[in-house]
Amino acid sequence: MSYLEVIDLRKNYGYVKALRGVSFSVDKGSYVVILGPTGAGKTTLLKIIAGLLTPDHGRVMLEGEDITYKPPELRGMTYMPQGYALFPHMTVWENVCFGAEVRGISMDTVKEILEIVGLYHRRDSYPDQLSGGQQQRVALARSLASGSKIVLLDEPLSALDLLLNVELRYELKRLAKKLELTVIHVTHNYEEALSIADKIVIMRRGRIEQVGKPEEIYKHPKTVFVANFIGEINYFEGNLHRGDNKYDVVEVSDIGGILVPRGLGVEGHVIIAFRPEDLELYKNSPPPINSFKSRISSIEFHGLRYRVMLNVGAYSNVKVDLWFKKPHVKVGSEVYVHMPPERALVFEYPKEGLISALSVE
Amino acid sequence: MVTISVENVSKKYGDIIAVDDITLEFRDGEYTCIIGPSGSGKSTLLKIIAGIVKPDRGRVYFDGEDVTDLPVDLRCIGMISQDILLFPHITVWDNIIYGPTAKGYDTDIIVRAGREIIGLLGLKYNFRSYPDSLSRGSQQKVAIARALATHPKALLLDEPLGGLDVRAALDLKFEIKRLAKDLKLTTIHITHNQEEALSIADKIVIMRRGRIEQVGKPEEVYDIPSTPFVARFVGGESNFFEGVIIDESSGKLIISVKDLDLRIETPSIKGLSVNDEVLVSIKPEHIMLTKDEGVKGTVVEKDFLGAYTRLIININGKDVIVRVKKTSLNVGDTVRVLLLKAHIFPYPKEGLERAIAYE
Repeated sequence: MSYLEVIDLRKNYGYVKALRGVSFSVDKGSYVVILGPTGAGKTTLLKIIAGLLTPDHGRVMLEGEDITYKPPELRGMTYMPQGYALFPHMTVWENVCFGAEVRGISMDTVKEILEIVGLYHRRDSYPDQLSGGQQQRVALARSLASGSKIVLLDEPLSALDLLLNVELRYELKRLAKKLELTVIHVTHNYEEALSIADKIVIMRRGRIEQVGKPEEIYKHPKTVFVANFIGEINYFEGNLHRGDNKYDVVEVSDIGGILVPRGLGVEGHVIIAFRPEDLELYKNSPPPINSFKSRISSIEFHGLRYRVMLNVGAYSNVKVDLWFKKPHVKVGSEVYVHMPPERALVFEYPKEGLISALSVE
Repeated sequence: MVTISVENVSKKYGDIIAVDDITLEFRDGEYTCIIGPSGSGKSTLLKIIAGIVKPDRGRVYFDGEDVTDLPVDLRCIGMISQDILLFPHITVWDNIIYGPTAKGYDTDIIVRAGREIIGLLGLKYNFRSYPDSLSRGSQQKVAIARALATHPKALLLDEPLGGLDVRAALDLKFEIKRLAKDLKLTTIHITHNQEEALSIADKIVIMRRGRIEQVGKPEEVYDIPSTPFVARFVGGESNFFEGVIIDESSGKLIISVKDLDLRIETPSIKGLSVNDEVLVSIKPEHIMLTKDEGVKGTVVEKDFLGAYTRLIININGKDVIVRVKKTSLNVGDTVRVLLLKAHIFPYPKEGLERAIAYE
């Protein structure tokens, strides 16, 4: 039996189908991130779990008990909405202690949580004396110190500057584990999801696209949408046919045959994709298979990586990322780009068309 | 199309000094990103350049001409902010041609300006629909089209990608850069997102507490940070250790990093000599993991981040952040580390915490 489970949830707002049958389970003490573009139904889902909305269909189960219609205050959950409803007449300290006192959380823990979000020194300030990012950190601290064992967070890091967002991700995960919380965290930021989650649920247009561990989803995306949404990809359209016993071949016009491990895709019209960090550049003597002549159109410095843009056949925007190192190639020069077969992602060509399949709307 | 300069500009709001004596030049056609934490004064500086806020002291020049007292509508600038201010009650098309229409141009000129900008941005919307039928990313594109339809000389962008989905922002930022370059606009783009800035800027200005911390090309501010704060802010996350110079010979300094029980060698630094205390900053990607060389540590945390993996390695009781492209190490494994590169600063008088503080 799962700790928390949602079964076939459906919810319409007038003609808009916000949820079209969503089911997944959450283990006790795990950190689950629900990831998807705006309008995917993430907030609706979170509100149904919190008890703030009732579904049109489906159930929410907690330790085997059907809680679909149980009032929110009896669910033992804390919900932190997008935006941050702090008590304006209470100090930071009083806001964070509000739930903690009732539930018997020690003041040492409250202090520690405030230190982690970097606001212990502002404990006597009132919310209107803080910036938006600081208020969001107070709201987060209050949720974590609420004493509930299940915490539901809607975009808890979105109002923060990037550096704070990055640094708080790890602290948040560490704190959740330490306090033995079960967390469901909603975001549109895939980097945030990858770095925090034990399990990621990817949603789109009211449905679940994929559920899995970060590494699983990143390396083995089930759809071209997931591949593109959880990182960048280079994609080519082609036809897959059986090759010799080790490899199948994807014929891509203007590039040639790209070998992929046998059984990766079904025969016929496909999309083959590679992540920018998986492509390799060679000045000469490239590996004998899957190496193609290309020309470098630009090299951009992006901080932790260099991005090399290539023209390969008719494809003019092939991205290659070199992480943590400087490229030894020059703009305008000819190089070989090697596409490692074991790194290929192959998808059946989407029936709805490629543009629609990739769309984040 | 215009060179913008600000000279000794200051602005106070009550007791708070938002902009503190800043002098900067934005060259003709250059794409500059101003980065810094919230509250660092970057928005105020942009508003001073736009003419929305009047500085308490200092002057603003456009191509050498003093425009400090010139109102915003006479400065020939396009401005975009995070809050997308499209008119909700008129169509997408009417929004785009709002500028030329308000200026009272002839209909054929207005239509030409509108079509031109739509072609340039490659917009494919239903132009007779209203803004709220579009996604936020598309609305921001329409706002950009509207700003460009007035043929500005400079583009001022205040967090133009804020509030957009990460994935939508990724595509839009390169589009904005391309447009600015095609139109040879002098662009000033404000963001708290240093990754965004590094990937599109010709020049980066890093601000904190109303002052400039560093100005340079993206690679310069990453490779040669001039303050500990820049070392922390650019590239995101860094390791800081206390060190002391224990030897100096033939143009080299030997620094002992007590916490890690290791020594590092760097070229001499002006003003630093034996027994001086220093701050050692090591970026997580400048640490190499080996089997048998370097200081011993234990992996205590591992996070898969897609293109790379982030590890926390405990060395002599001190946590060190490391970024590697691939690793087979797991939590609990023992490993040895080598430092590839470090940045050395004189030990800050205000103390480490304050020197790298975000606010």
